[in-house]
Amino acid sequence: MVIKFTLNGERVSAPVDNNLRLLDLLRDYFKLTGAKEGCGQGECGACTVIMDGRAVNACLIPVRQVEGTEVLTIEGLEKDGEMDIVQKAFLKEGAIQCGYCSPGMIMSVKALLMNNPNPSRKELVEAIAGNICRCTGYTKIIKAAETAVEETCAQE
Amino acid sequence: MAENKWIGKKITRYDGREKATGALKYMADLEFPDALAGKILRSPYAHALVKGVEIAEAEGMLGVVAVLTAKDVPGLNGFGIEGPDQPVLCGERVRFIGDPVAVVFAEDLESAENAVEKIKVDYEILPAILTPEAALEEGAIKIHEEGNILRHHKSSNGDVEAAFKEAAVVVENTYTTPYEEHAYIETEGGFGLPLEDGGVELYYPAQYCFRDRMQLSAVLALPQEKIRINSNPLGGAFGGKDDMLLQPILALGAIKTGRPVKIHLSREESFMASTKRLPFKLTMKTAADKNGKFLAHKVFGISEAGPFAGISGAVFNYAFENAFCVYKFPNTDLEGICVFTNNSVTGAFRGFGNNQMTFGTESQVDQIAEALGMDPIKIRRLNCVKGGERYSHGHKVNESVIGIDKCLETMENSDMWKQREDFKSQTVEPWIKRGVGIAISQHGGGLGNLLDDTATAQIEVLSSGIINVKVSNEEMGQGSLTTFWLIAAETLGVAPEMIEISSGQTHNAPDSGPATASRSTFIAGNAIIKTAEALKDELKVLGKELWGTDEININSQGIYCVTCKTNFISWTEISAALSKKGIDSVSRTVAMPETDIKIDLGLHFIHTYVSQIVDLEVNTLTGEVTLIQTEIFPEAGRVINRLGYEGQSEGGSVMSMGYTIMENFKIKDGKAMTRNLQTYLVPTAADIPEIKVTPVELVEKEGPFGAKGLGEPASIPITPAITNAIYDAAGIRIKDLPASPERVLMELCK
Repeated sequence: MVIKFTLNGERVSAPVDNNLRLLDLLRDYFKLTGAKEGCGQGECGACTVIMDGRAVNACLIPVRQVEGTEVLTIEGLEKDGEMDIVQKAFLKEGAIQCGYCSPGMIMSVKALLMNNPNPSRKELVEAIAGNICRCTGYTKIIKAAETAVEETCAQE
Repeated sequence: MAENKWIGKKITRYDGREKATGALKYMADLEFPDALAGKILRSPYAHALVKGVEIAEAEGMLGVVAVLTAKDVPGLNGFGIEGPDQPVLCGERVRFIGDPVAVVFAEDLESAENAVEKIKVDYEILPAILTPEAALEEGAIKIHEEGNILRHHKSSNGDVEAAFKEAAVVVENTYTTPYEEHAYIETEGGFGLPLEDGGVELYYPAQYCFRDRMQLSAVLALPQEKIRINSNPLGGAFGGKDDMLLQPILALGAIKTGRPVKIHLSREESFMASTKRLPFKLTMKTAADKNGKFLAHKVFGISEAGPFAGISGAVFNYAFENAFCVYKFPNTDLEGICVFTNNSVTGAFRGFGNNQMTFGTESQVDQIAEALGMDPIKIRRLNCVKGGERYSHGHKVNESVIGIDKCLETMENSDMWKQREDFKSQTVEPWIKRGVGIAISQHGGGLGNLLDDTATAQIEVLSSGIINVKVSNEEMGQGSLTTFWLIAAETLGVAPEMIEISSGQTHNAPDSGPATASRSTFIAGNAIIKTAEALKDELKVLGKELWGTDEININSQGIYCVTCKTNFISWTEISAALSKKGIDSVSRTVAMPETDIKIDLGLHFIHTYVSQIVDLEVNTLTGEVTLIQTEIFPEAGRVINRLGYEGQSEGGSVMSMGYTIMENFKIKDGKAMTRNLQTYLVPTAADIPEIKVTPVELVEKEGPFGAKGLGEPASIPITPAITNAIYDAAGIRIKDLPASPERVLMELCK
């Protein structure tokens, strides 16, 4: 079957096997390797992308559900060589160590801010509670998310 | 001393942008044309003889290119840091559930997986050794020819029994600690590529490319020059990617098929095959006089390496090296045994055995303080090793040993410690008990004095004008690239942007040793400083040749003549000028400072100290422990990069918070009961306390810009600080980790 959807702002189509997952489609067909497979069970969040405005685990989405949707991946965040506010905040606050969870973590924060530009700390923590980071201890990730909120509010 | 330009500031990491944008390719993200997919057949038995492996059916299946067994290993069918006792592919015997017997390489993963199911292995099941005690039983089956004992250490000093008799207080307890799974988010995976000269190239995340190359040379019966290893970057390691895992199988696959091969483990396979933290059972008897002065410490410990030596013997040694924590004990008695079992493979894990031992000793110290009615910090300050004193093993350590008392003093004077009673009164629900606990730890950096510990760095000025600094130590998230970058920039006096770091490439960087043992900042940092100074000397010679004076200034643009201010050459011109003189690069080697005496445990000279306070709540209805806040006081010398320093402290603490109250890797009959992240629960953002990091910055004279390592040290004191706080809150003494809700409830009901 061929599916059509919007990927990082571009209308795309791809021939796919029905049993593929969104994660395979992104990594193997579109060569977008920012989303990682850390468990294949929706436990670690390393494959988080944004689908129709919601953060999802790409390892749990069958490709047929992707038809007609709008998918945003970490590769789609940069605009004209400039990083997104969330990416900049992660760098500034030291929220990245090995970096393997970072794309998923950043997309979870981004999805929250797209829906709620001024979330509470509790909402921020809830938004990333499904993303495991084994390196940072989360303190700097939460700080980065707060910085991103401040910068988003300052911009608006 | 002039103020540093880059060292000690908050600097955005070297590899930050490519990580934030998802652009960085980890090994399993790479692509090589015509790559085959590999799938490993693993033993379902904990201990069995392999009587035969039938591969014909699998070989004939659609898409299958090669099925490899032990017969296909051209050289030594074994590897392991301490000795090659772990088969690449088992031909005679399997020693744990997950031991590889065969591997299929096929056009796609599905074909490989299907073919693996068609391989028939004839096993003769052997009795399995499932506990350390069983390994020691008379007549027990031998896992290796030499027997089941990997290490047996005995040492003593003075007379502990006499001390126990005269002591005002004697505390005796047995502590147990579980396996811990590293659970790096990147499971093991990468590529093997055949080279035209019959050699092989690997792209595989690992912590020491040169040692892997050496081991592979024996396995493949290939000279080391024909093996190229790329081991950077890593998506987390924490010691779990120290020894080899898939490297020999990937190399073999590439050579046998003549095509690139890929294996990327699923989470369950990673859990099954990778190393775990060594579990320990420690019986400790500790005595003090009526004034709280420590008289004696006796430790008997038993641990298991699993089926292979790996690096577990060194972990075991390191645990016993740290048996006295930071204290002076006039009478000591240590005995420890580390045995082989048919349980999970063990090995290096952040802290390297020290976490287990310090949990015991620091629990003992709190109980002595309580028995004598003494303040827990005061008793520690009374008994810790002071400047100029020898350690309880008899050796002298670095001058920054005064950091122990400084850590304790800083903690004693902190607001958090002073306000502890106020915090405790803030919790009002009668079933919630709040408590505050502390602990301290030491951690030696480097490989210890039983091993040569040196590092070589190399600097090349490229024709582009970029200064290329080369070392082997891999970047696994700890921030070593950033550390090296800042050290090189500060030493040379150029902006960091002018510097490019190469690491983790056997063919493009010198051997500066492994990215382990909290050594990279210290020893590779020192090697970079020495090499950068050597480059500066070459630049002075160049200045003299060009301008008749060696009084030059170095900056990001190039070098200037100080006296004749108009004369200048750029870095591109410097590159050409050095090449012309036959100087393609500059290289220097440094060694780790050593202790004055040696014992069979392998002592360390450079130590980092960390003290920590934990404030937590115990829910006496559910048994749940919730950390409210913690303050960490690391004495790791001068801070190189504040962001990295805090990040290591926070990350180490949270990781070991998981070890202490959440993570429980269970194994039954040699089989892992916790097979993935659904049942092996690691901390999430919702679990963490408020964390404050307060550096206790002493200058380590031997260290690069006064620094010492911090990667592992930050993971150690939180465990006893938590259990001491649980005691303070609820009056229960946790002696068996993890302090899970079930365990806490059980203790409350006693």
